[in-house]
Amino acid sequence: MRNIVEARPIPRTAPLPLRLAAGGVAALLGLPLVYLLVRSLEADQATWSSLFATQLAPLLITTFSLAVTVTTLAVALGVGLAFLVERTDLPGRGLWRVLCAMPLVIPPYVGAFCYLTLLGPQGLLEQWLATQLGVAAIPQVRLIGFPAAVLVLVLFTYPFVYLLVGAQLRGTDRSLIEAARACGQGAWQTFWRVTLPLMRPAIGAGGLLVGLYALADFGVVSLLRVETFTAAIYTQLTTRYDRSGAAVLSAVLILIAFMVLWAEQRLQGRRVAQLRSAWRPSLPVPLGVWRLPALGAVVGVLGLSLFLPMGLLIAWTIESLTDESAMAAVWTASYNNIWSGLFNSLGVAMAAATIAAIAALPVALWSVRYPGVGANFAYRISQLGYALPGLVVALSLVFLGNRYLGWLYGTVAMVVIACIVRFLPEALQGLRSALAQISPSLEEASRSLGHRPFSTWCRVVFPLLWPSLLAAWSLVFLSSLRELPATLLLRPAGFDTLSVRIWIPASESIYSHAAPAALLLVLTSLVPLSFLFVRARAGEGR
Amino acid sequence: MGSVLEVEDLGKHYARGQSALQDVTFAVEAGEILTVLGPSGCGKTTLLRLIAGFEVPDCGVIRFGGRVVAQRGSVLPAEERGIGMVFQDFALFPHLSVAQNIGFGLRPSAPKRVDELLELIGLLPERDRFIHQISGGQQQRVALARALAPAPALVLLDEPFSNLDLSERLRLREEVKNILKQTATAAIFVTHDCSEALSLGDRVAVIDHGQIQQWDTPEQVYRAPRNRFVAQFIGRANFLEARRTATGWQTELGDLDLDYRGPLAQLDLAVYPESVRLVCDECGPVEVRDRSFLGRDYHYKLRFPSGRVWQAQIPQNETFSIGQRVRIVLPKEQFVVLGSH
Amino acid sequence: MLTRRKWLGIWVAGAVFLTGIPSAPAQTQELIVYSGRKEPLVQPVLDLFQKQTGIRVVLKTGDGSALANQLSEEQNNPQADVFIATDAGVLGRLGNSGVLQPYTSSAVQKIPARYRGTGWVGVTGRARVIMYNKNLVKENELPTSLFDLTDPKWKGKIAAAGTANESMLGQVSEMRTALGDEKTRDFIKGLVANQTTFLKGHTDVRKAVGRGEFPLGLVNHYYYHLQLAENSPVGVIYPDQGAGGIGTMINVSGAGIVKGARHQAAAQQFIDFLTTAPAQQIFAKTNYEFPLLPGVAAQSDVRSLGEFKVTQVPLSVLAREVDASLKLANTAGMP
Repeated sequence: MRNIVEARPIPRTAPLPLRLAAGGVAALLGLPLVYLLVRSLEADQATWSSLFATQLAPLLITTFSLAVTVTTLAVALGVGLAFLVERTDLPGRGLWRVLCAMPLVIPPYVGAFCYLTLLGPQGLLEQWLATQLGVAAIPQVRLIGFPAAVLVLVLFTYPFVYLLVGAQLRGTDRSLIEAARACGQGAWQTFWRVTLPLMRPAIGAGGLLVGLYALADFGVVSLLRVETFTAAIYTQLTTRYDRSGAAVLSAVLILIAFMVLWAEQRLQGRRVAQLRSAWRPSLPVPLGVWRLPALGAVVGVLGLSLFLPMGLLIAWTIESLTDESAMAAVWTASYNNIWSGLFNSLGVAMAAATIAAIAALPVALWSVRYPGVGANFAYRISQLGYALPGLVVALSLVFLGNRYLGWLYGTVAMVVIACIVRFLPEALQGLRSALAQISPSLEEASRSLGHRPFSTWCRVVFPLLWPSLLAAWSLVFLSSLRELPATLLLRPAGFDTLSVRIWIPASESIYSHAAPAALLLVLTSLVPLSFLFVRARAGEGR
Repeated sequence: MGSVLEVEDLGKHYARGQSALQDVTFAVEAGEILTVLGPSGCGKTTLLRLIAGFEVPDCGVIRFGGRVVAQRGSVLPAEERGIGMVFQDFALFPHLSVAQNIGFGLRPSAPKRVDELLELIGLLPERDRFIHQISGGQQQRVALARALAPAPALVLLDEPFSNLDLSERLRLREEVKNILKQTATAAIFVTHDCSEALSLGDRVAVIDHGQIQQWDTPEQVYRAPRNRFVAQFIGRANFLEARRTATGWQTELGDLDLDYRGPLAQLDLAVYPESVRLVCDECGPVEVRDRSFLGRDYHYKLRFPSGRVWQAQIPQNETFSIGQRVRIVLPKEQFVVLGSH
Repeated sequence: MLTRRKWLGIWVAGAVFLTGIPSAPAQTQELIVYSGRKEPLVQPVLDLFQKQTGIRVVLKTGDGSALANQLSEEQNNPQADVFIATDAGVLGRLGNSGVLQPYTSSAVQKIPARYRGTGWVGVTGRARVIMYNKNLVKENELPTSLFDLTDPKWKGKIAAAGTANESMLGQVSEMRTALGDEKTRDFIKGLVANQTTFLKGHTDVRKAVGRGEFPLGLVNHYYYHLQLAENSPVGVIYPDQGAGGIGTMINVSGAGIVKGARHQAAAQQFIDFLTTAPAQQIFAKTNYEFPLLPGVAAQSDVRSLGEFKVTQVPLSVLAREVDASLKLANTAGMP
């Protein structure tokens, strides 16, 4: 047992430098979005009324039904897999436990591109079938639009739920299950009345991540042609010559983001605290005759979400190595080749991760150690990017950059800033809970032993925070590495990242040009992800 | 011997207008153990934090070693006071070993001093273990050793045994007292357990509602509690009002003869449960209402005709049954007159 | 514990190190090009320019309108030197609003005036044609005019791109200028009534026609040649060639210098280069387009300008008609 208790806040005001730093970070994060709101209000009445009259209702319906369907199915899939892997005598649990989290390395837009190429209109499957049957086209086998987007988003986002629920299941004390059985509940009743309610916080948190992803997704819906908010904003941006339409739609999305964050805060207040004093792992539930079908289901899901896309990426990459034009375009082009893409991606991701991890610290420190109206406000503002699509963040930066930050606009810094605005909340959440776990009495103990605040920070707080800081860094790194819409809009000329090198050929359906970059991106993502995974397991083992 | 610590008229207010501490005055002699006793929320932890330097007083003065360390508006930071502190949750650094924890406040590092302290607390074999690898009692001793390492003139202990189980608590109580006496360190020991306060302290300060109710030796606090709160808190006392008559004092228990020579016409009397003796009496005014067995003693609840309830602790060789009517027999020296000095 | 920390430390150190690199200043002379043309179709010309002049060309490709929007947004803070687009409407719009800067030189003036506008010059031409699948349509049944496509006999048999495509929008503008709004609206309504399938882009259209999914497709002429190169059984019709017909509509790919460009001299050099024979030949070769410089031949199997009747609309009108065309097309039912 570690000597750590939930921190009790010191009822003092934060030192001025801390407030300035945290306030500065919050202002920098909030400013672009506020500016976007202002700009959308500048749009004339006609833009508003025509958008509201024609587009808003269908967009809201499509966007929300996509988010709700995807969240529901991803929760069902994530919970089911987590239960099978953590709580039953499924053969080979150890292997499946790791593999089930792996689809997280495949960005959903890469998954969408794989499925589109394979099963989309005139996809490989349709072409093959058509040749076999000697017909021109078989529209019946096409996978496109809403159902395709649901499938792809579910397959590549369920790991959010799976990981959180799995951790919760591993952490549930056996005595709770035994208590339920002792009260005369059967195995199923125990699941419904004890196990499932205990998983609720994890399901809520995982479901929120999936839902926010579905709301903000740009790549999948554009490739698979679903008219959601982000797709409509992109259309407004690319085909119309008036950007106020895009600004108006984005403003509506920002309001939705405010609502989601508010709901999230309410949800957090109701989390269940579990005592883990004499923790013992649960005994596995015997599957009986269902062992093989369950195994089949797990393999099936992994086949669709991991083996198939990885297999396709590898096959197409090999194809690109043998095809002369692909070789020239992807691998050996004088610039904008895959290596410069990798280099640029790493540079942006590392810069964004480093700055975000450092910038999140004062905000986390303020809100944990000196809670109050100001601290809470700064925290909420900094969190806003969490619920906002990259496209909206990018748009606000385009507006702001051109009007006030000319010297910064058109540099790589803009891409890095967009990544920070979007992904700093990921670092913030981790650092906040890590700081809350470091009892203030540790700092006081150090002070009472003659160490000044700075020395206390270096010798006590930082060493304890260091692993969480690195985890935050890895998380932002991972997200920035695969960032697409903001990079697409903000990158300076000649600066293509891996995601751009995937997107440009993928949107033109040249799969052998897109696959190598996608494969490289997936392999690069494995590094920070494996670190996070190892750390999560080590944390549970303590 | 002079005072190590002097606290004068100390006050601390919180935002809601509530005062956490008010007019607190006391002193600690060199090498003396002062226990601060009070219910939770009475302000005793705030007092400790003010002395340690984690809070700023709104009024009053704290002098440590003859030097003002805190007064309204100007305070010496905690790290410059040289006052040791043992926290309720121990606050041991999880990333450091036992020896590194103890040596944390030593500059320059002094391995010999660390070993000396490890020896003192009997944990030399665990010197390189991490905190989560040792037991709660051992953690407690490490926390004490860490606070003592820089040889402070004063150590503050904030309910240091509340995280331990009973048997360990009793053992450590003795051990901590010995170590403090051995090192001649003055200590302020905050607790809400009165047997702890009485057995450990050279002097006891009882606090309630942010004010010191009594500050005296343990014996004196027990024998002559200043008010109902102190008597109740120290010994779960029973209370009785007495009115002067021509012949003596009139009470609900009948007319009493008291050793009171003061001028008051009305007195507040306290009687500890263990002082009460009972005699079987069919016509007695008091009824036995409740009985629980404590091993050596029985614990009774007694009901007066007026509805007043008393507690009594009677050796187990005299048994009374529930519903029985009894008479209370008390020698006059067992009546404690409250507020008589 | 320590080794893991050390390893992670190296990660962070590497991060800080690497982030310093992309911002290292480039010493060689640069030219920043925004291109609405697809990368493989513009890269060979850039490579040649780079080789001839030693100027490093920095390219940002993307959707033409998206880049045009970006250029307008950047008007007070120009980032690019040259803009290449595949539609005279997009170019003209930027030229008229002062985002592109007028430039003329002896090289530019060799391009016929009707393929130039304020701030931009046409580089290559593309014709709006109908391509067909030879297995599905008999020679004698072929449409000869765009307006034949509204004939109910082609119901469900046509593929086209929607208004998100600049070439399609350009065609609407040209048709409105040549024939008026009424006839244009009837034409679009006819296409919609014939259940024309509007696909994402022309690549989808040509592939669908090539595979026989649709008998007819409305595309730019080079899509026909690209599909033919894939050995598909496709043919091409240059519509409205008959007497009284309005002629086949032409659009151009062109380029302009961004006002306030930081590399003025290089940008002018580049525009001149685009209108020279070697560049024109590369364009003609890589994408089957018509070179606009008189005297440069198209690919051997591609018709040259002058070998067919062209709709007589100056392309500079496209810019001011875009909005009205979009509105008209949308209200008539084209997505």
